[in-house]
Amino acid sequence: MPFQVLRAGKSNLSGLCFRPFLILLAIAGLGFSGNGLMAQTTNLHVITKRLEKTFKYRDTYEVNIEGEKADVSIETWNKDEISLSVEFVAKHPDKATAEADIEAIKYIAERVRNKIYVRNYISVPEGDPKPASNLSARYVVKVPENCPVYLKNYFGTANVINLAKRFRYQGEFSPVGLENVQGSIDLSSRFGDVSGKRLDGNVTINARRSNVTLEEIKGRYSIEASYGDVRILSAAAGLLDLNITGTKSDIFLFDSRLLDYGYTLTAQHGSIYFPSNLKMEFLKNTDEIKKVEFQPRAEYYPNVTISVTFGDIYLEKEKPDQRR
Amino acid sequence: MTEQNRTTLKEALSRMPVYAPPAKCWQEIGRELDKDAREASLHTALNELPDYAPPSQNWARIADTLEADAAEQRLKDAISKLPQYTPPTEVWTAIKHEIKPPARKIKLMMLTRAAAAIALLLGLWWAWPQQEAAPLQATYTYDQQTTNAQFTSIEDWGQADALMQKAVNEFREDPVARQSPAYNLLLSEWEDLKAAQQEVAEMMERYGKDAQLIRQMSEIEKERSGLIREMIAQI
Repeated sequence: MPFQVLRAGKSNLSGLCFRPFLILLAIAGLGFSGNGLMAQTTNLHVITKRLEKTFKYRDTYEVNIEGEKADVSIETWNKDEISLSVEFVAKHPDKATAEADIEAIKYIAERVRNKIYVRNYISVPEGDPKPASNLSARYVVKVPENCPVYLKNYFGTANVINLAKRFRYQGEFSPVGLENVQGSIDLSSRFGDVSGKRLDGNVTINARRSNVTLEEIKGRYSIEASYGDVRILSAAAGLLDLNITGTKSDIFLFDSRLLDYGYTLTAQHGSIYFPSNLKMEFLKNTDEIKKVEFQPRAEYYPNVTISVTFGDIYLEKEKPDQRR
Repeated sequence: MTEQNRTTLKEALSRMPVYAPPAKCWQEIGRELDKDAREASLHTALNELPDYAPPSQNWARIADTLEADAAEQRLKDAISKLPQYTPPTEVWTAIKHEIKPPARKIKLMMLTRAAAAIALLLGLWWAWPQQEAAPLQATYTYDQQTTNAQFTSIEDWGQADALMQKAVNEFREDPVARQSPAYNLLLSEWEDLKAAQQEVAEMMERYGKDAQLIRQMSEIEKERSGLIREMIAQI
């Protein structure tokens, strides 16, 4: 255990002189305490500006949405149209301020060649005061299921259902939820949790400081996670490959058919936990690195490859809420 | 055979005039001999050079070319031997009627310009944002909402900044912490979180504070606190 040796050595060297500092830190409560919330009521004027626009859909079109402080909902319908419904909301105790501030949110919705661009942002003329209201945006986007969608969202939320061809997502500080999405799925998230249910296709996820939770997965998965946990709550019959790389992340795979998959699991500065009936072969088993492998007897089976650094791997038959 | 008038012959020969070649002849001969001597080493070197045989496909290609030339020649010969016929006069008359007079140069220029203009218009139409949908119609709704939240008074996330930075500096300089496999990772994580906190603060400034932003800020602050605890544990 090199960590423990290092720690013990250091406490002999400088632990005493640093102790007052530690105490001071403890007294300070290490940061945000959240105790400043006042129980005082305020009357807010809420102004909502609603805009709607519809585009005819053609097979080659793609919708590109760039939201800022926006709650974006993407769903499908049976019409050959792309419908955008946008709401901007301004809240302020002073009505005139809210009215003025809502106009600071600008909006673009236009088609350029095969792409339909949708974007909101704040723009204030030079010299004018910044908006004082609390501002936010809401999008409801309806597209045919085969319409590819590329969504960029910066602070906000995103929910996507039933897309069938291609979905790309780049989010920061914006949790994203997907349900019944198929085809090519490419997600990149920073400080925004990713959750997905019934995803099927080629799925690529890059999650930084974001937890990833997936359920009933099918197809091929390549997941890179750092500083966030990955939880696969269940796999469906169509799972082909599952590759997960984690840094400072714990990886959980819950599935009742764990014996049906092939595994290559590696944990550097971490541990691997698996059921005892899964007869893993230990390829490496040192304090620093652990590597195990398992191959089922079946001719064809999904391959599960998980590598973590500074994290643990857990394989379990049942989800946490089923263990009662 | 015995020479009968040997003395007479000898005398006659001695009286014959003697001619010497001009000096430059000898010089020329000497130069040629020197040249041969100089080139001898070159010839020796040439003889020592390795031999290379070209790849067989090169020969095949040369052969093909030669054959093609021969075939072309045969074709030309055959064509030259073909009988010649003169078409009836009315054929030439008919052809003459079919040929239109050449377009005027100015017409061609105008056509080119028109084509360029059409192409430009098509390009603009293709690239220009197309308002195929109805123009945006904004509708406004007014409402009132009562809230208990007063977010202005809870900006306490920066209170421990100086203290945290001090801990980071201690960790950065600590010789034992430097040996930790997670040393660089923790420091980069700290920078990452600082940048994220800055982004949330900027967003609060632009869009105003709300519960979601404050939650995000508090999450980052909690992570920073956890990180500091991790750093302190290794000092």
